[in-house]
Amino acid sequence: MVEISSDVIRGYNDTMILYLLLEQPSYGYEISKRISEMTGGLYKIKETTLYSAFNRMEKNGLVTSFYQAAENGKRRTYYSITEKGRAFYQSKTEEWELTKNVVEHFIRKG
Amino acid sequence: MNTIKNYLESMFAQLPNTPEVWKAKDELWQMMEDRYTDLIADGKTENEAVGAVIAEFGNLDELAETLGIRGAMNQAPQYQASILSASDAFQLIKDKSRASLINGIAVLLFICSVMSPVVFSSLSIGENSGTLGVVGMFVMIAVGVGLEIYQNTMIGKWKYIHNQPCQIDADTASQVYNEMESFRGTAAIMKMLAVALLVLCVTPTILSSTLQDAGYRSSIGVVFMFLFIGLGVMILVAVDGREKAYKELVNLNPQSTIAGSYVPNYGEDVIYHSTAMTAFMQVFWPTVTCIYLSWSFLTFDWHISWVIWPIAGLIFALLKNLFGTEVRR
Repeated sequence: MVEISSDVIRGYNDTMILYLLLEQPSYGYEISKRISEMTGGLYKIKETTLYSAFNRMEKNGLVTSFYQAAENGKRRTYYSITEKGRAFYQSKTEEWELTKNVVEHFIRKG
Repeated sequence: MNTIKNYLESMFAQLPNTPEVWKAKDELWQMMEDRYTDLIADGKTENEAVGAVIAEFGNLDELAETLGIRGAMNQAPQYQASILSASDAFQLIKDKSRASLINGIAVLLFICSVMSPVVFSSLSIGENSGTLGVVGMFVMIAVGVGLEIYQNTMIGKWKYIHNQPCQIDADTASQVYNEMESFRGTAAIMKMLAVALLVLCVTPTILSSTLQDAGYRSSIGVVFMFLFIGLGVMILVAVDGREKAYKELVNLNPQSTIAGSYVPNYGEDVIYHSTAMTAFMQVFWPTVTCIYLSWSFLTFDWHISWVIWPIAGLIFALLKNLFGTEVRR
């Protein structure tokens, strides 16, 4: 079975995370769970990858974080998308359309 | 769940002790805990859940850039320290506390052995009393030596933690640290009791000298004096041994790493809550010296004026414990 090369997907981890934050703020495990559900288990994001993405995006002002108590009473870090984050997401989707278009020309089917 | 926690702690143990690293560890733990809880709720067994969480943890290398620890990660540790488990750590504390108590009892026996001849000679049970006294003394010394050897073998098995690099993980360190902190109150009370015994050791002699009675009663004062001294020293040795065991453990970890954040880096720095108290404590010992010298030179009561020192020491320790807080440097 083919596996996704982590080099290729790396540039789009941020896109996936930001997409999930468009609706409402969320936290680490929920995002990783939804990514794996939406892709039918084809892509599972590693915890360390997820954390470094959060950290980087927060430094770049794409997301902000806040603490909120979870159901079990523990403190959990939630992330929400900023205006800058939305704009970045928009540009990434356009970039992907373009990339996909370009690469598609060189893919032989069947 | 503990396996996951231990896994995470051991991954982070050697990383620099910075807020960024703490935050990363904290949040990764949240994610792992959430995933674990979810897997268990899905009906996975404990082993399956632990395996899945660890498999999807990823690689710490990915965090290097984010945490600004690229340098620290490349700088591979020169040695691989072996990790002392939490149960080993608490066994060490238990063994060392017990050993220091035995050591204290041995010292008590050594000190009390001196009084055996005094007691036997005052009993007046015939001409053998002198011999019996000496025999009693040597028996007590022999038992004391036996105890010393026993406590030495007891702690002997822990010597290895100094012969080879050893560490405890941050979780164990925090548990040990909390226990050490909660022992502080007990330790202070025990030490004060010990000092009180040492200060009061002369009072039985003074009291019994007023008894004006021949025979065994005259030796009661001596017996109590040695008992007081012996018990006082025993308590000090036992409490000190336990405190040393705690410190030994938390000091195993290099302070610059996550696991080393419990190294107590406060020493004698004591802060008092009011400025008046600070000023008072600063002039405490000079004042005591002045009182001692004036009293002694004015009345020439040198034979008794020395009691100022133990009493002042007691008051100082009391005030320091009541009004002062030790602070990290």
